[in-house]
Amino acid sequence: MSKTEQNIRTKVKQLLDEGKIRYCIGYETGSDSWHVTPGFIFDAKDAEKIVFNPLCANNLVGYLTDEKKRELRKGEKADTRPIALLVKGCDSKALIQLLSENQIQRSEVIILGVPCNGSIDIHRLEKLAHEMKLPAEAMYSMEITRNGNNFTGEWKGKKYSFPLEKTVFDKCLCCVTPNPLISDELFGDKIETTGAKNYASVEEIEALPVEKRWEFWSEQFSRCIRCSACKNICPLCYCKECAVDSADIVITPQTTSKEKTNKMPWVEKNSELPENIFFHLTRMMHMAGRCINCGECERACPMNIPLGLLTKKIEKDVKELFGHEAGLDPEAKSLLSIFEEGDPGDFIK
Amino acid sequence: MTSSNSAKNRDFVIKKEHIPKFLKGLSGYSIYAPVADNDLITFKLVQKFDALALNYSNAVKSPKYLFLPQTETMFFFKKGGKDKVEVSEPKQEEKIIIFGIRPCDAAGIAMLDTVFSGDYDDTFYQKRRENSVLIGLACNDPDKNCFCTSTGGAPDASDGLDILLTDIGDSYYVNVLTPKGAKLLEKSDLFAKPSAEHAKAADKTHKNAHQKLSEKIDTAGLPEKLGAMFEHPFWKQVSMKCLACGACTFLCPTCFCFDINDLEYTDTATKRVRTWDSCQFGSYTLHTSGHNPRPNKENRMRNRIMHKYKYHYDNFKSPGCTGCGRCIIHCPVNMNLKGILKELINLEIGQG
Repeated sequence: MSKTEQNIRTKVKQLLDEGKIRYCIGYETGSDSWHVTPGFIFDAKDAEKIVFNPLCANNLVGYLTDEKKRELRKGEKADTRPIALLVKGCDSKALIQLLSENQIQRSEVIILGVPCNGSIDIHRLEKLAHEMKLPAEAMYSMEITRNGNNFTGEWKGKKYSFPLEKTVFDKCLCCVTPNPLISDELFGDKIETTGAKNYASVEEIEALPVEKRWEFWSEQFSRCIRCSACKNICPLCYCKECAVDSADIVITPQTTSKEKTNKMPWVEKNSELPENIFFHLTRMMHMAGRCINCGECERACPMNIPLGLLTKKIEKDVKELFGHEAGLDPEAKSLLSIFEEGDPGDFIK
Repeated sequence: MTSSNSAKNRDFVIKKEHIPKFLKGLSGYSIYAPVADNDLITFKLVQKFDALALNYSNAVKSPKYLFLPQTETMFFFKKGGKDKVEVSEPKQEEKIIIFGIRPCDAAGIAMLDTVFSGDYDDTFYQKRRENSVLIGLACNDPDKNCFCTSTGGAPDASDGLDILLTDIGDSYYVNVLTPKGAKLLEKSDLFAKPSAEHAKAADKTHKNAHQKLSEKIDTAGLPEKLGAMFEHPFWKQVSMKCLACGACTFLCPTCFCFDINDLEYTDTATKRVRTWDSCQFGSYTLHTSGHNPRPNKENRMRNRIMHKYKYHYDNFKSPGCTGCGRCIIHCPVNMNLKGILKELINLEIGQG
């Protein structure tokens, strides 16, 4: 067990013992030693379940707004104590964005920051392990540790090495925020960043003629099964009523029947290509100036749709057009709700 | 197990290299088979049979969509003169063969057969099903998340199948299971009588696969236990990390919930479609009054488990799950159904 992991456990145990938090959101070992899963720690004695290692990919920030949506059970009293939350560098940007959008208050969360020098994409690691002909038994019982530019593991006395560039997410290879930008306590040493933003993959698509781009994205979106994993895992999708979900509507006793019947389903439930395209592109437009490129939508997609290309494209556009980057300043105004004289207006014909 | 040491007269062998020729010879059918694309294995309409991904674990989504399409047009309607509505139905005459389907997915289709021929005859489903032949491929190397043997299935089970193939090296051992299956083979000269060695090899392969699935979850008594824990705090605790997305239910070989909508088709015509729905979505049981009997994801997660391991059991005397493991493999937050079942079995629920 790493010292970082031990320190996190000690801190969480202390917070729970003192009754200062509702619960802690961290990571636990999942279905095998190569999978971690979000863990919710309510009891101090469970603090020892918390793990932190390069497999901790999930961005946990979305669980904060998720909690707010939950209706209380009969007789249940609202608990107003803060929630302790584990955040890596990229996760912290999502948290900052939520703070700037006034979706959570700073006092509602105790931020346990952990510097991160790259998360393993389990699918890439599994693929590599298959190529290396590792037996399944070895794969899922091997503990993975970081050693310089490699991840290493040992099984039956034999050492295996997995190169960084073949195992981590693309976003990690060009990460400029390995350290949490906001935290109450930091666990582990700060990491010097050598990464630089890289839009090569986006530029490659941009360079294609429009017909080819259409063909490319049509092929990608035709695979979509509209499971909503991309939208539901997004730490910045918190609306109770969603523009791209035809049935996700908020009805109160005051809603009139006329309002109900006139509710416009912008995106229908059918999973045919035009609706799929509309679903994804509308979602992306709603993320412009807000998306912090944590890559969770792409990771969550069971159909391998390269959504990260789109999130990077909007990040690039927003930066080029407005000089804006999301998730850096909790006091920042929301890009799409402000207007400045210098804003580009070329699109108004 | 379907195998035995002595070959039955409905058993054959076919050389692997003859499979493309066999499939090519099956005229009048659309053939769906597993192919690799974008790092994914999916069942697709295949015309060239030399690049099938038959050495696969399982397809990302179950081929149930060939019988229950994610979006299915039920009929078109438009105004046809005064007080008249013209209704037309789409033609649905495609005859299909699903080649290389895994026993868990075929079991899923057998399960859907009971649902769609139960209290109500679903002609959309039934017609597609009648027009289909299922050629299964036994699992030699089950995935670590597979648990078919805990749900009444097996890596070499024959439920729902017309023919079962077993990979025995350079050939497939062929069990013909139904007259439909026999008819498909009768005109082909590519199938030979199996030798005792062939039968032995198939048997050994099946036994090996069973051994890999030796960890069984004993679900005896679970339906009753679930019935007694509707309001148990377990559901809240287990669903905390759930995203309430529909990845598990949409990839599942047995989930069958759907929704019906009218969509504009042309300027003057409308089509009525049914689309998959998921009990994990917040809108699933949203009433028009605004009331939702399952407002939180804990209520909906409970429904998913209850449906698979209690309600389906109550109705059909078997669990509504085939242990394919997809909901574990593809869950973005690593929700582990196997783990949940074990927790449920070990849980002390006390009285009331």
